[in-house]
Amino acid sequence: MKEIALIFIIVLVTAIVPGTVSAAETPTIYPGMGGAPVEVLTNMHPTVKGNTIIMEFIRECGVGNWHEGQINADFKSVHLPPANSCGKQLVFSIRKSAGRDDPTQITTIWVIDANETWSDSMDTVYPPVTDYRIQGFLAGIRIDPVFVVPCVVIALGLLVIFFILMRRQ
Amino acid sequence: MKHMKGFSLLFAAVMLVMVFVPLASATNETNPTPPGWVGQFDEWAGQKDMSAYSVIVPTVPIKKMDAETVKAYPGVVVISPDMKFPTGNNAVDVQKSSMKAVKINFVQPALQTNTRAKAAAMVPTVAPEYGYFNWYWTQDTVATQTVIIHNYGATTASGVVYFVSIEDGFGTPAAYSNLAPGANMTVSIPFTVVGNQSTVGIKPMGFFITVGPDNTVTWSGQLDLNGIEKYNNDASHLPDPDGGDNLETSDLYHFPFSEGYEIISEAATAADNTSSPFETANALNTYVHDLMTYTKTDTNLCYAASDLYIKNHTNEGVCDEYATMDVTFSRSLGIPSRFLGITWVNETGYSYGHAILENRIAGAWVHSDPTWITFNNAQVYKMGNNTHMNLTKYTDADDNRYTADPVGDGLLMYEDMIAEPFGELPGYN
Repeated sequence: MKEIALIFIIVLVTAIVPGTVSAAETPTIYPGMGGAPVEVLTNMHPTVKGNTIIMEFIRECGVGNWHEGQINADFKSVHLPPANSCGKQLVFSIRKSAGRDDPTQITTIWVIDANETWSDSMDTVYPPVTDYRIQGFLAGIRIDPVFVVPCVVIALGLLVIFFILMRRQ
Repeated sequence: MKHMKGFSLLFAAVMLVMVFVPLASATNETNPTPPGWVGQFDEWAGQKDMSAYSVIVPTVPIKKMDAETVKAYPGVVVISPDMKFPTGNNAVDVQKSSMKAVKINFVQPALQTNTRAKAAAMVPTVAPEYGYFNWYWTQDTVATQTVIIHNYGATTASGVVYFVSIEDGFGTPAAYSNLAPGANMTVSIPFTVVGNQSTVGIKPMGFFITVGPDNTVTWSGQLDLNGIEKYNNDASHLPDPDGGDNLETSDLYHFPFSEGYEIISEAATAADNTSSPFETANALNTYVHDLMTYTKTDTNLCYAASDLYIKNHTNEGVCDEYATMDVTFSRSLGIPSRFLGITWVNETGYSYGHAILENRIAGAWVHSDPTWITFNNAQVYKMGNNTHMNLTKYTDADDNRYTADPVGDGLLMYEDMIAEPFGELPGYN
């Protein structure tokens, strides 16, 4: 009888305690809590996902507690601090009147030192992203300068070799 | 020579390969997207036709008053486009104004200094001294305007005072008679706000005074304060299905109170010249997105800030502040609107909390998300590969409800509101 009572108590405790702890730990999700910073960013500004420079920064540095700023009546700035110690931060400007899915919404990108104070008069490390590049990307064109330049160099090299060989003949 | 030909052919072949292979590679749509490449999210940005869920209300073209409309509104008259309404001859009396009616004082007209000429004038100068003007106009109702006029002439005057919506080119007259020289008279003008062919937003107000049977204009001017036209919420216009709950003010939404003119005028400016609730709500969605500055602070995350708190803190906030501003702007222009919390599970299994709103338009609730700058697109969350979109309406915000939270600071906890769970509404799932 004692054994049965003991087993019963153990079963009861085993059933109740984890359930109670689990229930107590279930967090209430309030409006405004959002999700991971990068998820909130790409939900608000979906064209970020079509921008190679920003996405490369995100892959390398992650995104910390990002925020926006007002530049003027026509533009806002979006400030992405790194989530790791990559030592960089990224700032990009967006055109206010552009729609959510407008590929020209992002106008200029700055990649600066993590401790540097941004100003819209600063030089960009990367050149401004032109409409042509974004539109080209969205259209599926994947001409990458990193790929094209070596090809040109190799072609020129081969040309020189053939020229020399022909001269020897 | 034989070797030369061989080399030439080889050279030509290599050159062709060098040119065509990169071009083919660059334009090949079947080129697989590198792992982690952003292209994998492209479908998020797509749109979906949501007409089955939300009624799309066509934009009503703006028209000037026609004869048929004038007939439908007794007492309304068309004002000639040649009528001029000079500015700068009046000023708002802040001390004696209320939200219902603003007192405006008028500059005394420049009178004829020659006494003999003044006495000989056939038409006495009748001009306003001051007035009380109802500036918050509800379409298809009467907004009574009161003007105290003065006879600066030497003979008794009779005539008409016309109150005018300058932009829309119509007005309402009110006659006066037997105004003795040097005397004042109060004239009440039952100004009819014609909603049929009008737009909401900023409405420059003006009036003019005529004297005698020839309707000689002795004074005209534009008021220093603009009227603001809003939608009518009675049963035959844009009713709130919850009996006004979605139009109310609260500790979150302050538009009709004395400090709320800022909210109303900002909404009216943002949605000026829109002529249907759908168009107005869409304009406000875009405006709020551009106005707000997304800033994630502990305060923004833990509290729902009131409209005035947000205005006083440089329009900063997260999604619930965006939704609050859109709700307050929409309600101030007479569009029933409800604040909704929405949660979902994303494709990696994590929960996400977000705030949006819905506008009541043409008998349907229309989705609006000013944070994501998307309107009438409730499927946008599902299109992001999220599931279990679960909605809760938050209403009747009262800073006194939750006692653990300081009162009167413009920051409310969600426990300060009444939560009505809607569950996983089909339109979103």
